[in-house]
Formats: sequence, C-alpha cells, structure tokens
Amino acid sequence: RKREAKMNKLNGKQKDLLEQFQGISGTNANLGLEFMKNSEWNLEVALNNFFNNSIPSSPPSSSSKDKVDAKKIRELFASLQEKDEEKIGEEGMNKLVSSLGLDPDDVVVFLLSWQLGAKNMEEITKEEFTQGMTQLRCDSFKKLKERIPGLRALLADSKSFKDFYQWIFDYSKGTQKCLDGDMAVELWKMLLKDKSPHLELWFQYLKEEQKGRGISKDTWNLLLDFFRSTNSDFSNYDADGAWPTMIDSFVDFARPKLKAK
Amino acid sequence: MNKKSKITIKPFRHVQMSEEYADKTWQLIHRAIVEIHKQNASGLSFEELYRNGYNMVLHQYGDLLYKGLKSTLQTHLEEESKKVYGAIDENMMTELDKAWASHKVCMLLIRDILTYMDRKYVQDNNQPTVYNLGLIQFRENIARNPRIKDRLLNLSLGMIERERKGEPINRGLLKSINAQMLVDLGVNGRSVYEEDFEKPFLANTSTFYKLESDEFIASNTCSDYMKKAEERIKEEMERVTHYLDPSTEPKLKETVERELISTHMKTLSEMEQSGIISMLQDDKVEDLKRMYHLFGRVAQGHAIMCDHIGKYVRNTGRALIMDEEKQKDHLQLIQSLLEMKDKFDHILLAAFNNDKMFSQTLNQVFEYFINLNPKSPEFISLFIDEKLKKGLKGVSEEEVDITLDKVMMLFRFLQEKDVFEKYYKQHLAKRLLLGRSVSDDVEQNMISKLKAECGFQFTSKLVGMFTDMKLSTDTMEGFKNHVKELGDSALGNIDLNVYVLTTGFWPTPSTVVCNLPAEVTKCCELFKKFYLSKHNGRRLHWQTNMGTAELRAVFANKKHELSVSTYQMVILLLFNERNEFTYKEIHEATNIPVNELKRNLVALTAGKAKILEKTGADAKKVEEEDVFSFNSKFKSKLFKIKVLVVAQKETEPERSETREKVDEERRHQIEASIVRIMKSRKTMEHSNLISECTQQLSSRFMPNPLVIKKRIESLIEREYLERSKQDRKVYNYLA
Repeated sequence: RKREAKMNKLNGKQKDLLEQFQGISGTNANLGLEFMKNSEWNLEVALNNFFNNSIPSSPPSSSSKDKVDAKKIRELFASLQEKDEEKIGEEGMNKLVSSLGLDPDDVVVFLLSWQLGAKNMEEITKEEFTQGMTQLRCDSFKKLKERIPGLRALLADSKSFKDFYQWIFDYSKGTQKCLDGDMAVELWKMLLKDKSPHLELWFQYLKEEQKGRGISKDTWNLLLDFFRSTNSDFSNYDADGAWPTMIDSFVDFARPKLKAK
Repeated sequence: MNKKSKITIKPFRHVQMSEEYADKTWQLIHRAIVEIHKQNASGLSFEELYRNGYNMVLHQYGDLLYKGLKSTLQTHLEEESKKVYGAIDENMMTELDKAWASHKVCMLLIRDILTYMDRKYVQDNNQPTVYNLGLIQFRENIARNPRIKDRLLNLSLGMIERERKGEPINRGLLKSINAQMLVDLGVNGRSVYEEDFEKPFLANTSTFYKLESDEFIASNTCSDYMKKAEERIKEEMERVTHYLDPSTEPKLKETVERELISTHMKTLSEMEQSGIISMLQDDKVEDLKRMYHLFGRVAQGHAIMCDHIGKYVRNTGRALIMDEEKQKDHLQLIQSLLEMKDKFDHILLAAFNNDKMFSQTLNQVFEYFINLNPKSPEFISLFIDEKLKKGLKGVSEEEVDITLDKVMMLFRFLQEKDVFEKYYKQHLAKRLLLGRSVSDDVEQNMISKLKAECGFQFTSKLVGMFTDMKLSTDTMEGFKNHVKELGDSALGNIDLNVYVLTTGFWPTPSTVVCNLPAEVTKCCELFKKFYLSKHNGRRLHWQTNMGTAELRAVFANKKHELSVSTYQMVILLLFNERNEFTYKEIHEATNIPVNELKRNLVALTAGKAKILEKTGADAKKVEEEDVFSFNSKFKSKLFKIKVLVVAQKETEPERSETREKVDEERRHQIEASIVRIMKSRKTMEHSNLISECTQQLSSRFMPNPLVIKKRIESLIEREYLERSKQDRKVYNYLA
C-alpha cells in the first residue's frame, strides 16, 4: 500500500520516465523511484548514477536477475570479434544485429552503440563492449533484447534524444571534420522523420545548393534546435539569431518556395 | 471757601460726522473734480480737499466717497467719449490721444487729493486704487466703447499698412495709443493690448505678407526675394521700436519669418535658374550666405538646405566617378575630385562659416560617392604616384605638399583603405626599384601623412621597404669590394646592381623566374654566394619581373643605350643569336609569363622606341603567329632610350587577382579580430561580437557581416570558439 501510495503521487510523465528507467536498468519500481527522485527526474542522470552505483541510500540490488557475469561477457565478445583483432567489426555487428532480431537500419542499433559507449561506427573495442555491457547489466543476447524497449523509450525524452542526436554525428563522421552530405541525409531520414514540416525542403536545398558539401558539427547540432523552434512559415525565424550560415541560406531558399505554394 | 470739587477730565468725545455733513463734504470734492476735468484746477486748495477726503474716510464714509468718485468719473468720460467718436476719420485717433493725455493728468491730481482713501479704504475693501479705477473707467467708457473700439483698431491697422506700402505716417500717435495707452489700460497686465491690438495686428501682418510673398515669389529670382525678405524683416523689427510694445517683438518675428521664409523655403531652394543648385553650380557665395542666414532663422531651414546640397553633390559626384569615359583618364578624374572638394570647401567656409551640419552633410556625401567606385583606392594611389615621380615640371615642392594634403582628405573618405595600401605598396615598389622617386624626403613626408591618418601599423611595412633599399646600398658596396678582390673578369662585362627585398614588406613576390642568359646567371650566382655567406639561413629568390637593365645596342647608324626591364633585356639578348624570332620561339626561350611577354613585346615594337619590328596587322596586339625582327634601321636623336613599362592601371584580370588577395587578407584580419575580442572577453553575444569586430576593423575596411559570421563558424569548427550550451547566441572562448 505504501508503494501504491507513492506511485499514485506521480504524474503521467514521471510514470513514463520511471518505466523507461526500469526497462534499461532492470530494477524494481522502488529503486527506480529512488534514483529518479534523486536525479530530479532526469532520466539520463538517473541511469548514470545507477550504473556508477553512486546513490548512497539504497543498497546495490542483489537479485540474481541483475547479476552480471564477466566471463559470459568475455565469451560474447569473443564470438563477435574480428579474427585477429580485439574489436567487433562489420561482420560482428551484423551478427549482433541479427541475433537480436533487429533490422540493420533500425535506429535501435545506433541506440545500442550509444549506450555501449562506442566512439565510431567502424568498430566496437573490447573495452567499450565490456564496460558498456556491464553498465547495461547484460551478459547475454537475451538480456540485451530485454533492454531494447527501454532504449527505444529514450527517443521520446527530449534531452536524451538531443544527446543521442549530437553523439551520432561524431560516431558517423569517420576521420574527417565534417559529416558526408549523403550520410547526413540518411541519418536525418532515420532520426527526424515526422519531426519537422521542413525536412523534405531541407533535403531539396542540400541537393540543389550544397551538393558535395559536408555538414559541420555546428550545423548538425543546431539543425535540431532550428526544427524544434521554427514554425511552418518561418515567421518566427530570427535572422540575427546566430544560426549557422547554411541554415540562414536554407531559409532564404525555402521562403519563396513556401510562398509559391 | 468752596467745597472741594472734583475736576473730572472727560475723555475726548469722537465727534460723529452726520450724513448731511458727509454729503456736503462729498459735494465739495465732487465740484473740485469737475473743475479739474475742466482743466480748471488752479483755483482749488489741495490742502482743503485732501482734508475733506481724509475726514470722510476717517468717519467711515469711504464708501460714499468711492462710489461718488466712480460715478463722477463715469459721467465725465461718457461726455468725453462723444467727443472722441464724434471726430471724423483719423481725427478720432487724435481726439482719443488728447482725451487720454488729459485723463492721465486729471487722475494724478485726483489721486493726490484722495491719497488717504487710496491707502486706507482701498486696502481694507479690496478695491482698485484711484488711479486704476480711472484706468478701468477710461477703458470701459472710451477705449472699449463699441463706437470706438473697432474703429480704432481699423485705423491703426490702416496706418500700418500704409507705412508698409511706403507712405509716411504719424508714428507718435500710434505709439501713444497702442504701445502706451492700451498697455496701461490692462492695469496689471497686457491683456488689453494683446486682445485689442496685438492679436489682430499679428493676423493682419500674416495676411499681408502672405499675399506679398506669394506675388513676389512668382515673378522674382530667389536672390531678389531673399533680399526683399531681409528688408521686410528688418523693417518689422524697427516697427517694434517705433510704436509697438517690446513684448510683441518675438511674436512679430515669428509671424513674419513664418510667412516669408518657412512657407516658401522649399520653393526658393528648388527654383530653377536661381535656386540652390544654380547657386552651387555658379559659386554664388553671397547668395548662399544670405540664404544660410535667412533660413537659419526658422526651424528646418538649414535642414532643407543640407538636403538639397547633399542631393546635388551626391549626384554630381556620382556622375563624375562612375562616368566610363572619365575613368579612362584616372589622373584627371582624381584631379576633378580634388577641384570639386576645393570648391565645396570654399563654399562651406565663405557661405556657411564651416557650420557643423553642412560640413557633416558634405563629408557624408563625399564618402558615399567616392566609395561607389571600387577603383577609387587604385586611382588615388596612382595619382599620388604621379606626384611623387621625378620630372614633375613646373611645380614647387610646397605646391606638391599642399596637393598631397588635399589628396589625404580624399583618402580619409575611403572605406577600403586596405585596398589602397596594396596598390600604394605596388606603386611605391616600382618607384623605388626603378629609381623614379623625386626624393627620399618627399616619399617619407607622404608616409608620415599616412601614418598620422592611419597609425603606425599601416605604414610599418612601407617604412621597411625604405630600410631594404638602404641596406641594399650597403650590401652592394661590400659586393663591389668582393668583386674587386676576385679580379676584373669575375662579372664579365656586366655591371650588376642588386636590391635585396624582405618578403613581408614588398608586394607579393612572383614565383616565376624567366630564363636568364648565361652571362647574367653567372653574375647572379656570384652575388647569391656572397650574400648568403654574410647572412646564413636566408633564402633568395630572384624577381625577374621587377628588375631593369641597361643595354648598349648597335644599330645601323649609331649606337644607343637602352633602358629596359629585365624581361625586355632577356628578349632583346636573343637577337644577338639571330635576326628573327617567332613569338612562340621567344616564349619558349625566355619562359616569360604570357601577358607580361605580350606587354613587353608591344613596348618594344609599338612605342616610340621601335627596337623590334613585328608582323601582324595590329601593332598593339601580339598574336601567336607574329614574327619579330631586330630593327637595325632604328633612329633617334637621343643617345639614351627608355623603353620601360610604367606603373599603369591594372587590367581586369589583374584587378580581380588583387581583389581576391585583399579578400583573403580580410578573412585573416576578421578572424584575428574575432579571436582577439573573444580572448579578452571570454564570452560574448552574437550581435555584440559582430558589431565589435566591425568597429575594430573599420579603419581599414568595412567588413561584411555575413563574412564575419562565416569566420565565426570556421573558428567553431577549428575549436577556437564554442557555442554556449545554455544559449546558442552566446559564444565562449576556448583556451
């Protein structure tokens, strides 16, 4: 009854976040509530705290469900790694993806890499894998699969989404400073579908006016803010708002096209 | 013996005045007043009358006295008024004046008699004093008498109108009645004067001048109108001293100025043939001065003038500087600009006394049109180059200095001073290397003018160029000694002189080296060895595009000495082998860049010094198929022949190259400025950064805000700056 009482005092959003937390961390509702309250209902901070075991009040969870077997993780890594190198390459990734029953184009694949702490899309190092799996409290594909709904839920939280969105740039760009234009478009299609009425026009603009140009980190990051804050006819767009020049010139490109409609 | 009797002293009993007695006393006074009004005061006893008045007031009969006085005055003035309005035409004014004068005299006497009442009764009962009572009575019964009031006004106004039309009038009469009587009748203010005279007078004045000015302006020049307006204004101001109250002066001034000036300012300025534009065109300083003073009297007067002057100078300036024909003779163009500046500076001083608003207008306009033409910086530099070259005939050093000071004024208007610097460097380099300067002193003088204007940084590189020249002289001495030691034949027959230039100071070095003849190369190598032995670790690159040579040439008739550029030397020396070469052969043999090659060939074949002959229809154009041959038949009276190519205007491709270099330098300058600002402020908001950066660079050029923004983005990419996580409009400096 005590727990129910506590639960009843939560609002809809908080209940959502709590669900997500539980999904990822694999903890029960009570513990989850503790962490969430401590982090002032910031999902990412709560998760970080959980994985770093930094909440003093509650004892670490001791249910067997949550115990992680380091040996199993090592074996898992060994099954995925490249022949002579201590990293998971393309083959290994494909194996991982199919073992989880996922589509290789699914955004969850990226989410997973994100949560594992991978730095670039060419490979996952042994360290990244070991640390990441430990933090996720997984030592088998089955457990990893259970985490997936929780990962998907992260997309709904605006702050988590932003962090994920910004991370994906560094992950995908490779050794250059800028992200290849075509790859950027593919990523945007995956991430920003239905998030802005301007998306198609933006792609058209890139094709016509910025052919062959890479996307700078600044432009990538701010595009999300731009889409989130600008209304459909650009009437609240501030030309002196320190937007990157590519976005300024996009607005100039798009405005007459909107009028023509 | 009497009984003791008490002597009682009874208090003095106040004798009451009976009504009868009071009446009688009043009658005495009344009769006296009547006599006074009849100008018959001599028979009266002041002492007696005063005592009577005193007694009445003392015995509480002040009321009776006062009321009696009032009615006596009234009766008298009613009579008087008949006299006044009975007079015909203007005589009424004279009668009025008489009545007023006599009234004043009488009132003084009456007041003296009734002084005690004035002091006691009037104070206690809050009534007008005797004199003021008289004024009020006079006002109600005469001045504002319906039969008099309007007639009086019309008479006054009529007189004034006649005087305005040139007739003499009785000013004293007007003064006495309007400036004095009406003013006095206001008792404690000027309300009577203002309502009964001043207001209608001003309205009348307004109408009069409206009419007159409309007529006059329709058939007279601006200058004549202004003279007339000045006269009229003067006249009206004098009118005030003659017969108006001083308080009218500002109101009259405002009315007249409004009707004569404000209403017509625009029309006057825009008059064809005689308005501002024609005054400016024909240097009509007197007229402009008159207009300045006249229009200065009213609001917006000067603003209208500046507006028209600004437009005119703007259009004239723009036409001058954008004229395609005129641009062909750039020296004349700058000369015309200087003359234009002179003209307007003179007008500014003589007509407008260097008034700030006018000088600002002119400065703004000059700045505007000088910068319309992107070639202005180049032209100004070429003009200065012309003045600093040897051989400037018929001009003293002082005159040149004055001209250069004037050119500096034009320079001040340039927004693209960095472009100017680039050209100045180029032209200076040519002057120094070709030995063309008039003198070092004159050159240094010019540099100090630039330094005074733009600061040390602007001129530091230029100064470096002079240092290089000096050092080269020293180096050459050392080299000559060295050669002597090596023996006479070390250089062959060639007398070599080398200038060593520090890369940062001089215009961008050329990387192309043409093929020098063997004998020349030998000398160059010798020098290089010598120099590098003295200066370890330096690198020398020969600049074959900047050198000169003197050749001894043998023609059919006689020998000549030819002053040529290095390129020309290389070309000519080919003809020592054989007499004819095709263009292609020359190109291959010399490896001189194409447009330089063509230019120098044209100088050798089409100029006054036709040392080579070429085939091909157009003498000024070099085609691939042209064949060149040595012109042994060449003749000239002079022994020494100069064939050098002088500092010219750039060709279009050269100009866009220069422009590109300037743009690149600007990008660096902008970035350096942004980093400087951010380093000291650590964090800054976007639009503040842009304006601060613009301000910092404004002494050299006007940066484009879009370019600044792009540079900011580039700096973010290179992690010099970052956007603040809280506010994307704020930047942080990354150490």
